[in-house]
Amino acid sequence: MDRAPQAGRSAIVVVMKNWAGIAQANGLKLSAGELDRIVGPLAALEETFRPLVKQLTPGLEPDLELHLDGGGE
Amino acid sequence: MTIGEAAEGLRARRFSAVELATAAISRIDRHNPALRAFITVTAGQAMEQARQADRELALGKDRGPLHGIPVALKDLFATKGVRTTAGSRVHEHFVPEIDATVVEKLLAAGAVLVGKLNMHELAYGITSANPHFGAVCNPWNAEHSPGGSSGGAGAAVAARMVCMAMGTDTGGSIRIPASFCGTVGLKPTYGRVSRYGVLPLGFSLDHVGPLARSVRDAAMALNAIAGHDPLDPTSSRRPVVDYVPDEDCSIRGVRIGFPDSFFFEHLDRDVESAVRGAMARAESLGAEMRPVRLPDMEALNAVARIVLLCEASAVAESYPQDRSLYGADVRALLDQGRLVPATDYINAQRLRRRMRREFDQVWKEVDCVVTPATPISAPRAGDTTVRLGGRDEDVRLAATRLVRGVNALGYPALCLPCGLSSAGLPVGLQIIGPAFEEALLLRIGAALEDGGVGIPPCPLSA
Repeated sequence: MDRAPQAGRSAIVVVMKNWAGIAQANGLKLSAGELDRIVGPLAALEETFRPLVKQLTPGLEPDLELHLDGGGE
Repeated sequence: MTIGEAAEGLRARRFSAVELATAAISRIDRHNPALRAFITVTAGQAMEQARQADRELALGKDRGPLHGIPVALKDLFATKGVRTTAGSRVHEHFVPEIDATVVEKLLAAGAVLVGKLNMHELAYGITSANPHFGAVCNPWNAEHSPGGSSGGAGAAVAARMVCMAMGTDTGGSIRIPASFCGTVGLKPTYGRVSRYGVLPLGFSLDHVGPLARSVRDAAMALNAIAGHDPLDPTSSRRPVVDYVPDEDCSIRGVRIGFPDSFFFEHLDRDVESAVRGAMARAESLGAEMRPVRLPDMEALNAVARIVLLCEASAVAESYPQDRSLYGADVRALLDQGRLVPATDYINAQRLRRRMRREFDQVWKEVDCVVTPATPISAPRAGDTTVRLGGRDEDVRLAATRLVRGVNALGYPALCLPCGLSSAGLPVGLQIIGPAFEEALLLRIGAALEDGGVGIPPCPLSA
């Protein structure tokens, strides 16, 4: 039975990505050692970042150029 | 000698610009073989600039406090006719045909450029253990890291090779070496100082700023380099002010926020003690210390890392793809950036906007926020982990933990030394303020310095 997420408990499951496969698909030919060196940091970053993305609302636009003069905000 | 002291001595004719430049180059000759702070020393050009500075002063032409002062540049500022490597083999033979805007401004201010400084390869890291030009050593203890990526700048200023050095900061690369080497380091507001002619790492995160031996010296440097530049599309049109604090500047009534969560968690005890000591001094000088709750800094760090990974890899797409040209750590970061999807980059920039809006609310409660700059003093060179608060932490993540997020927000941040660890290594204090409030940060920093917050000079021999 489906249940609503309980208050204070995240309902977001971070799916582990296949970084080796993604690297291969991107044309990156990495040795096992090189893969080891990048998979850990990317997986850790993914774990923090993915839940944040789920909080985004459609109307929020990107801050591609940082203009702090006050004209844009 | 600070810039202020050197400028006064020059005008009192106690010494000449040629003598200052000669002394700087002698000190570089003596200490650079051990410290590896410089990649290129421009002695001949510096002596010519110094002679010109003396001639002008003799004729009554005074370009201001940097006139005749020996300074150096991280080796990613384009310098016309002088090799600019970015600490890399990729740019090993690059001789620019232009000066970066900041270099033009420093020359217009009469500064004497004595050379180009070693750095972390492509400014992409915090150790300055450069695989191509040698590892920079910390002048306080050569077995320890100077931090980075502006490690040569931190080492050269701490070792009194130059009065001021120009660095860049994409994820803490001015403030980390300032903290580890015991210098002042200023990351101005994004857009306050031109990035034109500076090799990019992360377009929307890169900041240019000085490392110096006093807060007022950093302010003098900012006076020389700040302002709109039509050649930099992100340059601000907001008018500049005089950033140099008055001699008797006060912080009475300034609302200083201290965020107990995140910034004061998992700290080295000596760091926490020195920073809390500086905060107590601020309060005794009349500042109002207020606890403040900040947005999720861990989330902000993740956002800043996604943005940097993507922007840096985008920049490097045009570089030669021969993997042997890159150090292993930089290569791994460039690989990571190529695997992050465009949707993540865009969403990171959306989160960035939201977090900046949230952080802007903080400035309704306080005028600035004070934190440690780094949770540790300089680690031993080669250490990959550090134990903090009962847990092992990657040294690179620890060093950037308290500084990286500020780059995503674009706010100005000042780092100044506030004590020494039990091992005799400097501890850095960070003051973060609202956009374009550099003058306030520098006033607070100067008041703290005047009030006794600081460290003795680096004990490196003459």
